[in-house]
Amino acid sequence: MEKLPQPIQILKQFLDRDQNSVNLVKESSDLVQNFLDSCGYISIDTPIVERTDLFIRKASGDISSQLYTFEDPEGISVSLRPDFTASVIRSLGNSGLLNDEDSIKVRYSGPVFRFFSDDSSLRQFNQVGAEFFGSKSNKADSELIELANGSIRELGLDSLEIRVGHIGVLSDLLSHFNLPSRAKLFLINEFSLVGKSYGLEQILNKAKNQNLLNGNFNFLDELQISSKKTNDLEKLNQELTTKLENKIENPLGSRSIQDIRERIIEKIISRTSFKDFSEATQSLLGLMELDGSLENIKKYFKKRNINSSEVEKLEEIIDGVSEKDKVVIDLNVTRNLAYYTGMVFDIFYNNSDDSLIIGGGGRYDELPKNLGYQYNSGALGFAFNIDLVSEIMGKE
Amino acid sequence: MNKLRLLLPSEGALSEGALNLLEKNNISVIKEKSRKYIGYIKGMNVDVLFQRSSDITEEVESGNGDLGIVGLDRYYEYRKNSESTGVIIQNLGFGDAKLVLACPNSWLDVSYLSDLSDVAIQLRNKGLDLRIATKYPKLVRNFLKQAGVNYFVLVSASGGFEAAPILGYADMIADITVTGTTIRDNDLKILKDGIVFESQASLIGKKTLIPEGLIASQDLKKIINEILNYKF
Repeated sequence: MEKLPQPIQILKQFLDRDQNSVNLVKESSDLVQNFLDSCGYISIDTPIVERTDLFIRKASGDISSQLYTFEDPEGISVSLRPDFTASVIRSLGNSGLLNDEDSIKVRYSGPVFRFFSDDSSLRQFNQVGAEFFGSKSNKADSELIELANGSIRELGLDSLEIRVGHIGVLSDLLSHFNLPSRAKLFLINEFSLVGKSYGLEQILNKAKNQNLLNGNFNFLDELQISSKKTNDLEKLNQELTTKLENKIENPLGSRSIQDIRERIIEKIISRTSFKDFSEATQSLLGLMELDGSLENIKKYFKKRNINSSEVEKLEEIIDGVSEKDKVVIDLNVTRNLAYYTGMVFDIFYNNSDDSLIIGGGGRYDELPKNLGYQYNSGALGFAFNIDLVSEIMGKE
Repeated sequence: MNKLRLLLPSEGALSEGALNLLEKNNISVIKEKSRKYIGYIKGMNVDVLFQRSSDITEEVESGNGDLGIVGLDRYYEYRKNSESTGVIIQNLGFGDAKLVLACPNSWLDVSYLSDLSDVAIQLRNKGLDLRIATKYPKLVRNFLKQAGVNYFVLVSASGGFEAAPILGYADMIADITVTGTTIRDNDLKILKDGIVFESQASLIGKKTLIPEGLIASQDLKKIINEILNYKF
């Protein structure tokens, strides 16, 4: 027999599709896109490959470890898109369409790539989604939820549910504790895990492991710095300046003594006390244990004498949704991404033996600025994992 | 009849360790006098090829060898394809070393990876990069990304590059250390959570050669015999 080379195998967690499967994906994608079209969302398409920086600037560490990153033949670090949002903002921003005068609504569809380390998720999947720029009003949040709700209706999927949370509500609660922003961010990101598989102890351990609570300050003693408190920054600054210049020798690398001084001050300011952190965590746990009705959330804040304008916003957002049959309030939803600033939602599929998230979205007003665009008029969006949607359609 | 080809490191502590281990397992390697890099195992159908440590992973992957004794750090760094080779014995009991991240002592504010992540952003905002010299770009890149350190440039290095920060071509190093002395001598400190990888000598092999259900024991002779019975 003729000796042939070994046939090449498909990559792990990637999929070849047959005609049935291709049609099913196309059908579900078309249903959502036509619906978005009828709501005034115009289509946009962006490259699958972008500069790595675009995605890293947008996301926290979580997504950057999932990026497919490589050097292109010119030696530029590029990545396959993990989602569309950053590319859409780049495209609209660079063409001047993202401005504070006009609102703009776009929709998109196509494959995205994420290197999940588990063996159950596909590493390439199709997203269909929408972005809405130009409104900070609660009505826009309601519109986005309705848009997701309407898409589900078009797909004819009864077993879906939209679980709405609000980062602002959590921030309002946390603002009553003396915590630096890094600790707040940590808690909000971890919050979706609090109380489910995690309790107070686990959260505290994780915070310790990430050195949130025990940063090393021994060097202050070594330098014999007397003013370690934040109440006299000027004095601290002066002390550091003289002592660092005497103490620091080469090598410094790319950093200057001034860099080191600035960072030391920042580090002292953002020092987290164990007591504050632990109390804040407990209070979040309490909020999570509520059944999610707005009345109970309001009572919880009132009992603690906290006036939360964000709870009122959430109420207005939910009131503004005309068909609420599939909408549930669930403050556990945080989407685990640092860039959300307000309302967030997950689209859940529930049946007897399965519960999975097949899409989601929310508000991320600061994202255009983080990507370098002078824009201050609000940004929201959502997306479906259309592969999962079509799988469910195939079953039902 | 085909012979099984075992690749051993040709020099350094790993080479010595591998030969000692084989001897302890009653496996005697006979070197051919005229050819320094080739030998065989007495009484077994096995050729022994002595190779540079840095080449062994690639040689097993490309089929020029069947089994190899190699530092686990180099195996994971140089492996191109996770499907063709595997680790048969994870820890052969020698060759312990750590791949660590070290920064200048003068960076008083840096003790943990979380500090490094802040410094990377600080430099980035000034239009500079955090430059890390290493021979292990793959392991270091993955480690830093998992740790949320996003902005850095890896400077490839060879030889004793602990002096890179003093010489100015890098800010930090990620290198193998056993005792940490060289790092300290160069005015550097290891980050408290900066162990990128803990390595030791391992036995690796082509996946197609490893019998299903092979129980990884430390009995090298038994393992080699099982592999020989399975495919040779």
